[in-house]
Amino acid sequence: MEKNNRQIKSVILSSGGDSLLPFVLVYMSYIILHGHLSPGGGFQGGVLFVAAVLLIYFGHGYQVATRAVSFNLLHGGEGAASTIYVLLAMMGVAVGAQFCQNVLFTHGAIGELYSAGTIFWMNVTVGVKVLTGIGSITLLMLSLVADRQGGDAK
Amino acid sequence: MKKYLTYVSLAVILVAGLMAAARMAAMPRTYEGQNATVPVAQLQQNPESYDDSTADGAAAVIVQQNLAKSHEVNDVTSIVFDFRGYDTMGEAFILITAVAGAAVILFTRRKEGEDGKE
Repeated sequence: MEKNNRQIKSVILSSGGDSLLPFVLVYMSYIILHGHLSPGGGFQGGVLFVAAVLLIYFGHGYQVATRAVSFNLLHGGEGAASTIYVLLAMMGVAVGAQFCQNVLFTHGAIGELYSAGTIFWMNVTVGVKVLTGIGSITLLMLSLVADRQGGDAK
Repeated sequence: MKKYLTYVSLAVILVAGLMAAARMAAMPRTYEGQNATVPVAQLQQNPESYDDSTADGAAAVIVQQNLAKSHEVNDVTSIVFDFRGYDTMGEAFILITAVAGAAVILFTRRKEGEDGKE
């Protein structure tokens, strides 16, 4: 058990993870927000959140990871994001167009960060949804690993 | 009382859905490739007739029509979130199902492990 704790809480791992964490988070939000201008998008950017959770776990152990990233908050965010996606898709029906039709696409200039109407908002909601879903799966798996190792989980 | 409330709300949702479906069926299609400046379907059957003096022929057609329809620079995102937004919604719900399945399996196993220790 002591060996496991030493492996997890080594100084090099924790300081390296701490210094990499902001860059990972900024890169994640960049990919999510620029999904309609560059390659990438909500799905690809949201998966990067796993890297952030794993960096916290490797540096500081399971307890700090659960304190930094709340499991209940992730669950609530996933449900809220999927509801907002469906509401955005229903906006077309409310205005008098097809389901999922882009009704706001004249907002913003072409090529700017805020352009392309519902594509931008749907991209952000799918990004939040994937971020929260994948993050909660990762936290669950880490909880199982921490239980097996003992000590650190409690 | 609660049961009837459920029935009434379900009936309202069903009627609204049917009305929306009827209205949407009467509307013109979002994209059928007919009103385009370049007839893509005919081009596919007779590629020799295409003017390939510009470098990116077919890609330019796709980009121009997409820009006119959605003001979107990236074609792939425009297909995923606009023209096939329904498909993306299904994918997102598959992710919810995956998270729920993983939660059920892992929580059950955690509980079993705690019981085994005691």
